[in-house]
Amino acid sequence: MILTLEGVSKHFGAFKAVKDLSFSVTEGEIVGFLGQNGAGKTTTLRMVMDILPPTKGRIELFGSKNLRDGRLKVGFLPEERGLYRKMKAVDTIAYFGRLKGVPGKTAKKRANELLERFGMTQYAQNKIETLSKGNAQKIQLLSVLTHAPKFLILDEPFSGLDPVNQKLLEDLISDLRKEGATVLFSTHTMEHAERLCDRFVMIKAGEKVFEGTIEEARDAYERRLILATPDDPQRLVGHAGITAVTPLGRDRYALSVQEGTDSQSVLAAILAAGIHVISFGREEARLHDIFFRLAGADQTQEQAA
Amino acid sequence: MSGLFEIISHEYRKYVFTRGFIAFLFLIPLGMAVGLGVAFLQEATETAKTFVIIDRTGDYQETIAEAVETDRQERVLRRWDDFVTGLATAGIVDADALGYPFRPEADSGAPGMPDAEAIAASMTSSVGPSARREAFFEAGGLEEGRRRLSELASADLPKIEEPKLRYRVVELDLGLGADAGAEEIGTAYAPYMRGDEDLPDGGRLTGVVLIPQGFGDDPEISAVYLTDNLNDTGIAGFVRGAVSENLRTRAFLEAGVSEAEVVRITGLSASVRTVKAGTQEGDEAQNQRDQIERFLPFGLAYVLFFGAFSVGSMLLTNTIEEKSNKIVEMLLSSVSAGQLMIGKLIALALVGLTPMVFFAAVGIAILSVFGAGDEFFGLVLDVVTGSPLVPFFFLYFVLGYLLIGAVYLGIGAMCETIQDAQNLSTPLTFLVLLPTFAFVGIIVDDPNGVIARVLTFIPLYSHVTMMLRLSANPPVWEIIAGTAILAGSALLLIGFMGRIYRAGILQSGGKATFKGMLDAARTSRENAAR
Repeated sequence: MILTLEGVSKHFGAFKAVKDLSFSVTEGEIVGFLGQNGAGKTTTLRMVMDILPPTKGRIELFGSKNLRDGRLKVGFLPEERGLYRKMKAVDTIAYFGRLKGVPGKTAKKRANELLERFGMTQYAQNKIETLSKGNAQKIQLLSVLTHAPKFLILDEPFSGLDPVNQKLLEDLISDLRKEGATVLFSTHTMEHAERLCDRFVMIKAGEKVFEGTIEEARDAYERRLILATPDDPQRLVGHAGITAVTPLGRDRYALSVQEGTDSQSVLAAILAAGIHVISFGREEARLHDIFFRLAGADQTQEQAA
Repeated sequence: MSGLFEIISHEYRKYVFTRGFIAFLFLIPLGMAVGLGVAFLQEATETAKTFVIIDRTGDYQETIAEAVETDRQERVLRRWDDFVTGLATAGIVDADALGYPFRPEADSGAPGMPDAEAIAASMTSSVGPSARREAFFEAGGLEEGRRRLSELASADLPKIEEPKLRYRVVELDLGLGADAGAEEIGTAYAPYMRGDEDLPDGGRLTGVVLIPQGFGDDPEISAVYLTDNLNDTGIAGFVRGAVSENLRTRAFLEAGVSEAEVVRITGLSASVRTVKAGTQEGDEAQNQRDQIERFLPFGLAYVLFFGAFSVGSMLLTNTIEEKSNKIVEMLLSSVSAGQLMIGKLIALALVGLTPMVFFAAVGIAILSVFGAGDEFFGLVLDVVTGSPLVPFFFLYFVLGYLLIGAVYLGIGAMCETIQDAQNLSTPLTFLVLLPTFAFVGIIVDDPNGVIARVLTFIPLYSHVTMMLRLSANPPVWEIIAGTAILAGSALLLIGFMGRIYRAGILQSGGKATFKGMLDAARTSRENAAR
């Protein structure tokens, strides 16, 4: 297990930022850590990096409670990030490596390698203040990789990046995963998470509301079937476990069914009712919708979750 | 621990390996050179002060003119003595071989014990310090001296020039009536003082000395010095001295004292020598050593005060920069907040010590080179390297800096911008600066007085106070207690500010007030970064 949290809480005075949070990350997977602003993501990641002490609970990195040593093997990109404006790009990357315990010469060599790999060798000797914002952000990212971490924790890595750089970062994360790295990243934009992540941890107001794959999320969300027909399917309610029919517009209807209902028997019931079927299948909910349902602020949806 | 080392190394390089810092190292000697250059320039461009004498009594015109000539001769003689002493010290000529009155006197001006030759010479002319001067100019003055020197020395000697005149009496009659008042005279001569009109032989008039009718007989009547520049009191003082002496001499003569007696009496001067208690009198080397030791603590205290303060305040901008650049969290994911803070404190201490060690090394190197041949430089080197003040200086620099630096570090951690920080740092700055400026004079005058002793035990001031007191042999227990209080409060403050630092450094939009700082220290346990 790369990372384990068990019953972790963090209180700031009367304010409970994180409540009894447990989840884990296994080797080689990409886990999305999702939640609204202020849900407790950054506080959680700070506790993992031993920047803040937890009020309660147990955190293990690489199977050890010694976070002080463990964090040196982690590449951490905080949400609040910046660089020394007067420092050269190559020195910046090397310095953050040295802070992680990479010896001076190796750090410099690694910094040059990283710059070359990402086609930024020409900026090596430039001071950070002379770089464009996008390039400075790339240097920031490279400075997290100097010590070749096996585990990357990225707090809101996509925020502030333009679409081109967002794509570059996505590619980088995919590349790193192919090389065997484990990644935990927090975000509140679901598109990236949906494309990249194997699993998700969603928190809301400091509490975990979901942990699992997107399929598991869809299962947890709601079982709905989508029927396209020119006819009116309202008369199906009450047959074959169908509890409600919601029109979605353009001749599409969502059929809510009881738990454990077999979709085959639903289709048979539809056909038996003489309804003309154009298409029929399970609803493919977007992560975005699930997020809203599970981690959003809306009251009614919260109850549903 | 390697993280701590990396922080120190990074912070140190950030300040020291910059163009600004290297420029600073070279600017200091350059600044000194400019200071010397200004002094030299002032001397080179200085022209004699010119004045017109309007003497309505007819008694003083000559007295003042004579005094101007005497002043010139004294300056010539002094320059001659300095010149010959320099040559003799360098071993180029033997000063004794020049003979009276060309041999420089060891302590001219003070009535020491004139040798037989001088006494013999004084029998024929007059007595007192003026005897040698008169003999010098009667024997041919500077020209004769030069001739004698060139006979003695084999090599070519540097030139010796007559010094510039300090005062010059000019004749400028504007045809004013004998009853013209001070105002009228002033108005008439003002264009010459302002430079609107040139003097007959060129240049500008500095002032006019008006000696009214009845002056000298009636003590109510005073002479008037008319000038455009009230700051320059040189001529007025000079005239006052010359005329007073004349008045006294005349009074003596009227009382029936012989002229030779008058010269002898007016030449009298009591000799008082200052000797440091516990040292032998007449030990010239010891005397010089005491002089150097007197100025050393003052210089060191000055450097100590500004060094500790300016390096300490660098921590403020440093912390705010890191906080507003949002680098802190990157750092804290690798090193602890404590390591970051201690690393900064150590690094900036090293930054402060760097120029001091650099200049000390350069100074010692220069003194060693010159000190080999020169007694005085050798003595300075001896005093500086042997003085216990130097190790104490470094101790008090570090302690004073830690105290001030810790406070600035805590303030910096609470603030997003320099403007925020100013609310908190300005009172501190006043607290550190004002009493120090106000009390330095008192401590120097009375190093073991009440104020000096009280300030010894107040941490913000004890480092500078101790530096100024040490060479006055304060009680040992006061040294130990003062130092212990300073060291103890520096450590306590680092601990306290460390809590504020850890609590503040990750917060954004914190309350930059003293109350906010106290809250931060109080809630540090739960809010603080590790």
